[in-house]
Amino acid sequence: MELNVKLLFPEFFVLTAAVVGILIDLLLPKRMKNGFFATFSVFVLFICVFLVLFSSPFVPEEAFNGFVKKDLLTGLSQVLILFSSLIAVFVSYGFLKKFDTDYVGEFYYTLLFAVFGAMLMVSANELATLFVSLEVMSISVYILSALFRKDYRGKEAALKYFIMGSVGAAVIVYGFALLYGLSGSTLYGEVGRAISTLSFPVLLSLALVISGFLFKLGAVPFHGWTPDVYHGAPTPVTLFMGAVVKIAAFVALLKLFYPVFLPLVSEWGEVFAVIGVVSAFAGALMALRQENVKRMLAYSAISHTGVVLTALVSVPAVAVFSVLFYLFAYAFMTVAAFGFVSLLTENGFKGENLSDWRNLYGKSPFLALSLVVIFMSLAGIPPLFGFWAKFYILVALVKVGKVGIAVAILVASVISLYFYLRPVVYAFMRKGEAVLPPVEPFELGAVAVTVLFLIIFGLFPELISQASIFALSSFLRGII
Amino acid sequence: MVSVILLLPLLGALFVALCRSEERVKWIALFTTGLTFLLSLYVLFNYDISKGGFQFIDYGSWLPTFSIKYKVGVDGLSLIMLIMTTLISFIAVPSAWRYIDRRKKLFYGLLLLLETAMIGVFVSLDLLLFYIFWEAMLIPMSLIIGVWGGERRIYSALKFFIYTFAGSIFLLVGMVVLVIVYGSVTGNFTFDILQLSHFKLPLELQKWLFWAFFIAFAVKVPVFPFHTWLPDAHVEAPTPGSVILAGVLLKMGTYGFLRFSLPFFPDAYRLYAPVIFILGIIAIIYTALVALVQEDVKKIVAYSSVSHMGFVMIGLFSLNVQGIEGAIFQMLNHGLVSAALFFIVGAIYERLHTRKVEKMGGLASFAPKLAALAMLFTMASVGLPGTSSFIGEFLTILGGYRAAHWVGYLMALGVIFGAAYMLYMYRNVFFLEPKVLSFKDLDLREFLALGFIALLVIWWGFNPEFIMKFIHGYTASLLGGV
Repeated sequence: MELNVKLLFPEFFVLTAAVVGILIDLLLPKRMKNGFFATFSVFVLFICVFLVLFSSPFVPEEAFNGFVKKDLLTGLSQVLILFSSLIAVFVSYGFLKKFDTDYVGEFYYTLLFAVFGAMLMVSANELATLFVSLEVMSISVYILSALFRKDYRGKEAALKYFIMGSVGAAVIVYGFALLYGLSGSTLYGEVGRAISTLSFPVLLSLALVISGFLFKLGAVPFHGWTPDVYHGAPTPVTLFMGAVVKIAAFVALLKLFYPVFLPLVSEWGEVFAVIGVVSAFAGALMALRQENVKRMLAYSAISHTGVVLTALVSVPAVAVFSVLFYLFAYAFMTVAAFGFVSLLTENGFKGENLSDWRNLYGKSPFLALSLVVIFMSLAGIPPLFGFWAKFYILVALVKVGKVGIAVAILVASVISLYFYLRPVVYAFMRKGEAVLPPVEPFELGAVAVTVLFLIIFGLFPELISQASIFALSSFLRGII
Repeated sequence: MVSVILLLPLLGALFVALCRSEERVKWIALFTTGLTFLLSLYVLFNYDISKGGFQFIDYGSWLPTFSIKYKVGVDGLSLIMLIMTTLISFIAVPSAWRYIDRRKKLFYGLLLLLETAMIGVFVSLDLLLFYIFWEAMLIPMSLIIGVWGGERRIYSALKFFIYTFAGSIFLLVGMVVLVIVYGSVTGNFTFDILQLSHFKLPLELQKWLFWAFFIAFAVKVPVFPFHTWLPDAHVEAPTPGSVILAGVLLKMGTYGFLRFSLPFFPDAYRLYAPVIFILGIIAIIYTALVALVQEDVKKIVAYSSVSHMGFVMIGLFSLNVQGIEGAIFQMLNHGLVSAALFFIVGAIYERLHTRKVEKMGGLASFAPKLAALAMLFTMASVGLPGTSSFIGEFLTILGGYRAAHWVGYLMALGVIFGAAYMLYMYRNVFFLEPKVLSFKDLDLREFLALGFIALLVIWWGFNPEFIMKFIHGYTASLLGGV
């Protein structure tokens, strides 16, 4: 019975910073807000990266009587969350300069609240904590989507996301309630001990929890909201949704399912595999004809989510490793892609459509070449980061003899190659004039750094593999 | 040493990217490809034939988690392919000299990246390293087709990229299955080609994996039903693109068959040889007939490539010394001859801005140098004794004949058709009534590039042993193991 509060120091740091942000917002004149809050957020997130690095234990540690459990899986995913959020802040700075809003301060501190939610979500070791942190993150993102004036699309997206997300959250809570009823506890460990066979209530709660998570992840058949929301939300927010929310949801899923439903792993593994293959195909097919890049990336996100889900059919250790590696690659690619879209966007949503990217190479060779790296990495062409992610999933699948699924996701990746090539075609091969608004150096720098990472980790993926293996072994210690 | 050759074009690409002038990049590219060629010659002359096997091995751990290594080296086969690659890249630069008139920096940068990827395919001794180069090559190549190509360039670039990528996913799955099966049997998880090739797989698995690898390689070669991307890509690609496509890229597929399919799945390879014979025969005869009715000069040369690769395929699957040595020799020789022919077609296109046979005619009277060299390469393509093609074609036919008589007969029939379309084309382009008012002969740069290949074609036609001596040891150990 120990509180062990210091374990949660990084989370509290972000939370405090967000609250301080609210106070400062009251005092600052409007024109200083963007610069100040961007700097403030960057510092907070940057310091927090170090806090996480120093405070993440290899041997899992619990806090608040087991409500929170931290291991390296948590630590690593928090670093990833913080990195993505950092890029989101850089991109937001440029975006807020281009688009008018009355809520500059609100934007940044809500972002910090969302980061806090995501960080807590990946450390949760108890059903209620998981739910609360999930909601802190989700509600912040709903708000972020609606903060821009005259942006009817963003408001529509926010409302849609809110309604759909609430339904998803409700489904998860039903599942949790059943689990509590079955076991009399909300702690993962105790719930897991109470569940060993596949009785009907267990099946029902499993189905509800899976559905809820699929909702949050945006996998078929609960993907309907993704394209509209990704498309409608302001691009930095889409970036945040695409990277941070996905990482948090996936890691929370790993941390929930392996301890709690371990005896039934073969059952839900199969479910995820089937859903994964369907999502991979559905996303790829629906993205083929999209003219709007954000919409296309939303469908591509569905497809990628599907690919990650298939890995869960493998043996737990391999599955966690390949999922984690994929999340790394996926986060970098998503951040780079949406950051790139944000760079090219100007008033009136110009620059979001493929046709606005005609002959981008003529305008800016550097941006056009970054585009090749980003989209080819998403397509999984070696030697870029995305290839290794796909490769490890493949190894995970073949290892348990699921060659059919492996072939299926690769066929889906061939289909997706077509739409990933379209931006390249527009930027290099079509004649026309690209829209290129003035580029904010910080924003450009952030995107350039992530693009560089896509190349470096593509050539030398060992670092990420090692990190994932450490996280995996630390995570496994906690289960066994 | 091999690593230096591999990385030199990459370094060149970096210099091209940093170079400020759009004009100077040509010279950087020429210098880099030239130096790479010289270095590969150094490797050629220092390769110890009496020892055989893989030499100049560079080795380093790259991804120890999955025991994927950086391992490159050359044996007889790789060496020939390496020389061919560096030579043709060196020739591709002068072929682009005037043809590429915009975005030169991008072009030469991509060309050098492409060279690194192509060299990498031929020297990798690690399965995954090979796959990475195999795929990485697609991006620069389809950009070259798509940016500087002809009218339907975007369609062709996409088709080329997606078609090849679709083929190679089966290779990727097959590779992973192979490695995991090897790991579960021997307890040793490795992607090392040398270790994997000593492993005997059960026949049932060999059959599956053979077809998985087959699709990837067959698309690249291209073997008959998978060849539809090739006419599009070749015709739309700019001259240097076609030179490299025909000269090097097609050989990656046949190289794959030799390096992987034969040592990894010998039983399945033998079992399915008749299927390949039939596909090869169809490719030889059918595409020759298709070439006979084409009106576009470039299309004729493109279809002739498919036809000639049919000879190579049959040679590879004949599983006797003549067939395989002939096939390797024919790979090298087809690389040179088709590259030269595309170079010539490009030179004509630069001057006339058309590729239609009916709009040409009588060019010989305006351009004697071009006509003479074109004559030589036409004859080489037909397989005239005294040119290197004769050796390759003759040996593959002999190999096919030894495998099954009917194969030999039908291949010989293909040679006749080949002579027909090439000679028709030559007559219609260079003789008959002149249909153009003026036509400039080859300039010094073009003359030197083509003359160099011409010398090699004749030299190796009379002295094939210069190349063959590198292949003997390789073929003996390959067939000894089967």
